[in-house]
Amino acid sequence: MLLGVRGAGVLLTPSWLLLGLVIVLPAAYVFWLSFEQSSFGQAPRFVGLANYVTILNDPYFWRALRNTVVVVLAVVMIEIVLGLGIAVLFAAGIPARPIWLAVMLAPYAVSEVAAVVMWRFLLDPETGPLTHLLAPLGLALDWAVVPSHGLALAGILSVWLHLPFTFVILYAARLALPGQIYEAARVDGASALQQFRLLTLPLLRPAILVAMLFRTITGFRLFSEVWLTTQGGPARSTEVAAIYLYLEGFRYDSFGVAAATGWMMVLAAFLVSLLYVRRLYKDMADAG
Amino acid sequence: MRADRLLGRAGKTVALAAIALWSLGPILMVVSASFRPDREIFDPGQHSFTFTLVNYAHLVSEWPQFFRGLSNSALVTAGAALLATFASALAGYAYSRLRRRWMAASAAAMVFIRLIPPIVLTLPLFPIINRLHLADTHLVLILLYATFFVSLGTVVMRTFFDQIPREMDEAAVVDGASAWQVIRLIVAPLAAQGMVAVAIFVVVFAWNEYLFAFIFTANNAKTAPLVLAEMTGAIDGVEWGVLFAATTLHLIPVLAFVILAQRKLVDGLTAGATKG
Amino acid sequence: MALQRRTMLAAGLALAATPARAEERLTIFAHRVHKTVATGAQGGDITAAWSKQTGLGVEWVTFEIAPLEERLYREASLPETAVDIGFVLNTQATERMARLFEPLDPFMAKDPIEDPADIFPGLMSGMKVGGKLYAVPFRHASSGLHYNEELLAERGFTAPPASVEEFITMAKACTYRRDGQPVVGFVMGGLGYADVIAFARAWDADYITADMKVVANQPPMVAAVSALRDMYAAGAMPRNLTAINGEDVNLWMQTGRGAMIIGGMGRNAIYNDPQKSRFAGKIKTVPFPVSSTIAGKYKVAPTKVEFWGMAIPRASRHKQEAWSLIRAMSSKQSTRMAALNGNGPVRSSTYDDAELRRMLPYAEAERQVLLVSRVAIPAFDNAAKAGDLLQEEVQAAVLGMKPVQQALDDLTERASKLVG
Repeated sequence: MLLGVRGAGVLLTPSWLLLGLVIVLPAAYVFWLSFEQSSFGQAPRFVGLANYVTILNDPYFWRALRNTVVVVLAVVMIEIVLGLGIAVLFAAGIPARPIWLAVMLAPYAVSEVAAVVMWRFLLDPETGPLTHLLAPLGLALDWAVVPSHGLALAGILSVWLHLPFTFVILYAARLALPGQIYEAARVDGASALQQFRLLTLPLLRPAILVAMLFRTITGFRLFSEVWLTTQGGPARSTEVAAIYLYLEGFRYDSFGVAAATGWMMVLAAFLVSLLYVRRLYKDMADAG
Repeated sequence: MRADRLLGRAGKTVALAAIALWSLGPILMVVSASFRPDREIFDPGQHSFTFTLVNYAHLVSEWPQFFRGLSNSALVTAGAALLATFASALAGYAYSRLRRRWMAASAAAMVFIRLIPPIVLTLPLFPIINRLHLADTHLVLILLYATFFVSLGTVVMRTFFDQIPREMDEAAVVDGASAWQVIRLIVAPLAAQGMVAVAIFVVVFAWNEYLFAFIFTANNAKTAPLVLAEMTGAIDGVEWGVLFAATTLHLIPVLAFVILAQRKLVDGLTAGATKG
Repeated sequence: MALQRRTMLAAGLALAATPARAEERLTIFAHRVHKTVATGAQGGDITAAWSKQTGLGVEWVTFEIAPLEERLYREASLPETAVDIGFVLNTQATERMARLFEPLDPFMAKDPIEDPADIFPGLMSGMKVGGKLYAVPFRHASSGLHYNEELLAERGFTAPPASVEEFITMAKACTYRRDGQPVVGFVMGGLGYADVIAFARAWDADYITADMKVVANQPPMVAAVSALRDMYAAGAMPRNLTAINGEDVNLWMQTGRGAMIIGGMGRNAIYNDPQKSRFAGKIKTVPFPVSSTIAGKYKVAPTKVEFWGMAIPRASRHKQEAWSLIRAMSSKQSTRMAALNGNGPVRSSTYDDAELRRMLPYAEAERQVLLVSRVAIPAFDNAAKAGDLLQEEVQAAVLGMKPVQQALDDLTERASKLVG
């Protein structure tokens, strides 16, 4: 036996030490904190479920949650559709594929802050190239004024930044499918569309599910895209869950409430993933 | 039939053009605009292109803190990548080679841990970090960034190690190699690919990360994204050129890195996603 | 090879853990404007002489108003902090401040600042909690009207507005395109509570009175917010004003994108800074005009005054050095230099300085305003949250998300809970 339990223990120590100190212990502390009333210079006081009641009664919390859910669902949907489409396109054969792969990966290398700079300029009301392009069509993204536009901007940013990730998962899965089945289908006279509906889609369902779950869970943490554009305004109308948490915890020093918000976020992400994604998975199974 | 194929080809061309515009458009726009004077940037009707380095000169003279930010980012990124790869490689090897029920359980736990939103952890971490005198240091960001990739990294490394048959390790032991030698001479070189993939993830993440830098650093260890965000608030709408110059300097290194290492990145992403 | 890497890692980590040169300098947490007025070009750097004498550097870390309070108080609440001087606002002079910051009377007794009686008594007492001093006043900002006389002239105006009604008309008229660049008549960033209340004082409006009554939905405030809504709808204010930070509006004036702005009168120096401003020498400062409805009672608008002081966190590790720096920054010479940099000086003697009066043409006007102005909101523990509430409801009103009266009614209801 090359690796004994003791050896394994040594090897696992660095990783688990980091995870334990940085994530596990603080997470347990946050869980405990959500049942306390805590602020600066005050000793924490046990208040049971009071913090949870507070946020459940706060219309701002519900708005933040609703904003988050809406953006996440839209973003995930768009990314799956685009990612799938592009994956199929790539698999169908394009010239100089490595170059196009690099093109698709490029946004992944860009930071959220840099992306905000880019899109804020593109959509600047006075000097933005996109604004000028859309103006004759009567379209304008009034992101600092109209809440739905502000959230749309956050959504655009999120899709732009994360599409590479979704695409790679779907593309890799598509590549893993054996070419013979498509050959056989073609011989049988199936059109491209039929091949997609009857072969690609059903076989990629697992990968689509993985991509959906991942993006839903990470999407719930949406922060910078909103913080660096509207800051949750105007009048807190574009606030998302992570911003609500930040304000409660760091600006108003209500640590207990912020902690409770954190756990509600985890719960919400979990529920949305479970219900929505599972529903969609079943729908696809039935349709396919 | 001919028309069908021609349409297909035209369709593909349009699609590819759209992809290029979407993915590269904003990046190329910022990079090219960083070499144009503000006068031209502000007037979208103007189509002339006057190449100038004035924005970069401005950046150097007016915003020295940006360059400090870049060096802070470099230090933190390198440190986090080293730490994460090192820790993940060790753990990945252990999970790959030793099969026990409690090991499987702890591996599953690692995956679950990734579900916790990082912002939630900032609440308790802030006072702890201050008490340890780690506030506003490079070390704190290195530790935080590395930790957030240890789970993914371990899964990726385990996948790579799984592709190396255990018999090879055992054959080497039979031949008289010590455990360390086996790792160094047989396993490690073969697993280097996996480590590169993990390193890429961490590098991209650490170089670009905003939230933790925003909350845990104020001055000394301020990273480039934070300085960039402050500059956006300060001069967005007024001095686009300088802002674009800073943005360009920030995104070019990692963009080049990702493009060069794209094969490994794809391998790593698929390993991490499908097996995690 | 693995061993080498490990030692390298350890060395790297050790290196990374030491904050760079922490012993050689003091750290100040302040608003951007404090750094600007303390280290400006016209008057010079008021910390330079002290640095040379003590061999210690000074590191300014600046934030916007709300983040500054957030960060500073968070740092001050730790057992030990790297922050040595924090700038506190008059609204924060409560029990909380007394808990987290060092009482300064013992320092004053041993090693007083220069001529304490010279500092406006109202400002000094504003920095006391329970009769004890916790911060040394550094800056007061009484709002006035700044206007770009060149832009006004281009639109046919040779004098600043005499009433706020005339101001509104002028703001709309001064919204035009100039050489392809859009100009707005009235610049305001973010609709923060301080600016909104300063503007509303043209009607002598109040949000929370000194005796802690919430009067946001009374006619004067309604008139003020309606005027803001009116100007915004007419395009006379920046469209994306909720995305503009308070301090960034300076750039709008310096680059001629705005014709008029309300703000601390000391900013005249910033707007006329020949290094940064394209209109150096063209931006004038006068008291903000009043509404004709209260013209009998007030000659100039009783705009808001807010003032800042320098405090030492109890958790600071360099209290003696911090006090020494505070003494240096509050000396008559430093106050004068900062005034030249655009600061509102806290010393009466500064206003008597002949050269200053010559160089700062608005100085006398500022003293006039100082006589009638009052704080934006009184000091109480939830002041910051009250300010945020006002910002939120006024944003909703100005952007047309809610009718003005309803927004102010909602605000009154919500703020009453905070105050009660």
